[in-house]
Amino acid sequence: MDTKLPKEADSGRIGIFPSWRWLYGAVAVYTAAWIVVLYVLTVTLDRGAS
Amino acid sequence: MSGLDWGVFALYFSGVIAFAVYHSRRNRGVEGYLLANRRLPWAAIGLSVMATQASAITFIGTTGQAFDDGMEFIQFYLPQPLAMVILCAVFVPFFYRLRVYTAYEYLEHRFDAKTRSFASFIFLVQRGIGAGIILYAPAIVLSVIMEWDETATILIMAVVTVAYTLMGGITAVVWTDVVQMLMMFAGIAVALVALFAALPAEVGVSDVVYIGGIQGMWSSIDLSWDPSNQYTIWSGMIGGLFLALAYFGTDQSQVQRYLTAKSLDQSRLALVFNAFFKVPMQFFILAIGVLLFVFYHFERPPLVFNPAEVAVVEASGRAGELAALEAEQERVHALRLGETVALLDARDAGADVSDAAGRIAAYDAELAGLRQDAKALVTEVRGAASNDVNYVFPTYLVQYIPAGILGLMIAVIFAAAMSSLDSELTALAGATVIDFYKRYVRADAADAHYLAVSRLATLLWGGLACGVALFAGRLGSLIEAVNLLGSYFYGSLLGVFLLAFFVKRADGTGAFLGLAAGMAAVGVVSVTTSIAFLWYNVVGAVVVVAVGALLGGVSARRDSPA
Repeated sequence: MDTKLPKEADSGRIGIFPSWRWLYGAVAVYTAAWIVVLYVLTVTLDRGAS
Repeated sequence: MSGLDWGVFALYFSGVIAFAVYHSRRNRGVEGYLLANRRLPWAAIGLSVMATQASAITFIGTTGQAFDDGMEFIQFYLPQPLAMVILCAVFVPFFYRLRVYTAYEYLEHRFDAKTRSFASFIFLVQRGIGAGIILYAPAIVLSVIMEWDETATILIMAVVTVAYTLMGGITAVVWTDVVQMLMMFAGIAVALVALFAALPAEVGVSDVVYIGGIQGMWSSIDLSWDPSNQYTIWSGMIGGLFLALAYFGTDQSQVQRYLTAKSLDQSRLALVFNAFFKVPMQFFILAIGVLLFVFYHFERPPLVFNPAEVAVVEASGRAGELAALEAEQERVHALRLGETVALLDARDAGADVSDAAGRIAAYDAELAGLRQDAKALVTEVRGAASNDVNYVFPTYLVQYIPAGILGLMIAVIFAAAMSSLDSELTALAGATVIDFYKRYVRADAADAHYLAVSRLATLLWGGLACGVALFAGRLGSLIEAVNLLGSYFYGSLLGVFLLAFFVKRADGTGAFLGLAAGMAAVGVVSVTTSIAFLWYNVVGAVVVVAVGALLGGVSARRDSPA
């Protein structure tokens, strides 16, 4: 059966990132930043027809 | 369309074909046709991944959706970067290590042939239909803009796409996708600039933001917990995550892209590229829809954007009802225009504008109500739901975009459709040949034979897509139709891959039955509940994993020595 992840999953430097894990972390932070920015836009720009 | 528009349009077609021919020279054998001999660079693959997902449906349907409902659809795209991380860390290494041609080959390595064939069959059915819907969207635009016959338009576009796909296989597809995706970026920028330029000179960016905000059009995040609401942050982040994992991780039209990379790292970089650029791209596409909403404060919009639907009502005995609604819309729009201009003047003077904003909001609501009444009338007369939302952006293009730019925007819509269709065709051909023909019909033929069969499969799937496209007009909002269709199958497909990766005791029979149970569960849930379709992906995946794990456990106990 084939259920074991290949070992090369976290090896090597990727551009400015020391490893894939750092790059994955950057993507997670990026996603969170988008959610925060959009939430702030929602709260500040929505005049709610009031 | 002016001569200049036709020139731009012709330039696009000739450029794409020339580009496809140039890049298809080095293809060798069936691996070259289906996987570009695994030598493409990550940036090209990344753009192709984006282009494959961003069809004309995205361009037309999403802008129309934002015109009616604002930015809330962005929530659906927010989990995609996280999905890319999971794919890079879990899915891609498995596929890459086994050097598979299709994602479903992995299922035979892990489970058995019947599970692989079942999953591949589901993909073929789903994407075969999806390819037709992708093809239909630009035909709508041309039926409005050039009054071309829809059938002829579908055939012309399909013939060109099938021709360059047949010629150069996935190499031609990926490199033309690169050009087409760059055209889409340019088209988004041009549309935004053109919309701003079309507003009255005294209307600035802050005014646009303010007017959109009066009706809550910039509201992007809905924190409410309502499973029946299509777009909340929860359905987006959870249901959307499952859908993105399923689409990018188990749909051959996407998996095939990153299997063409030179190395595992190159495959991953292609997906990470998508992780960073997809959300901003969708943000700006949706912003076009909101800008259209603001633009139509200053220009009177059609009450119903689909001219064909208007013609049907006008030819019926109820034309008077539509005329009455249009007269009322004209009256309310004039009032809103006056109030909007007064509000802008008051803002410039630094006066309080909350009362004016309230009145504009009331007019917005009244106009939205009139539009709903008109669409209900269309639905009653036609006996089928109005799909007017897909006509909003094309109507704006034909009425307000200057010569030359109109040709570019039509080419962009074509590019969006063709860049998705070509990917579907190579993926459908690949799954047909590798998962069925080579697996069950002829396992030991020469490479040239499989190449010929792959080309034949491309041709047949192109023909089927044309057939499906002719019926697509009966669907509602096309963007939702494609997602809805995907949600019936995608969750279960994802579930069987998750079962393979994470449940060691799972076996082939459990996976096969789990897959069937997952789809049945989604069917039951869709009929008996009102939960939003994005949740179907979660239901399907969870049921497959649960059933597969349970049956795998039973088998393990039965097989273990006493």
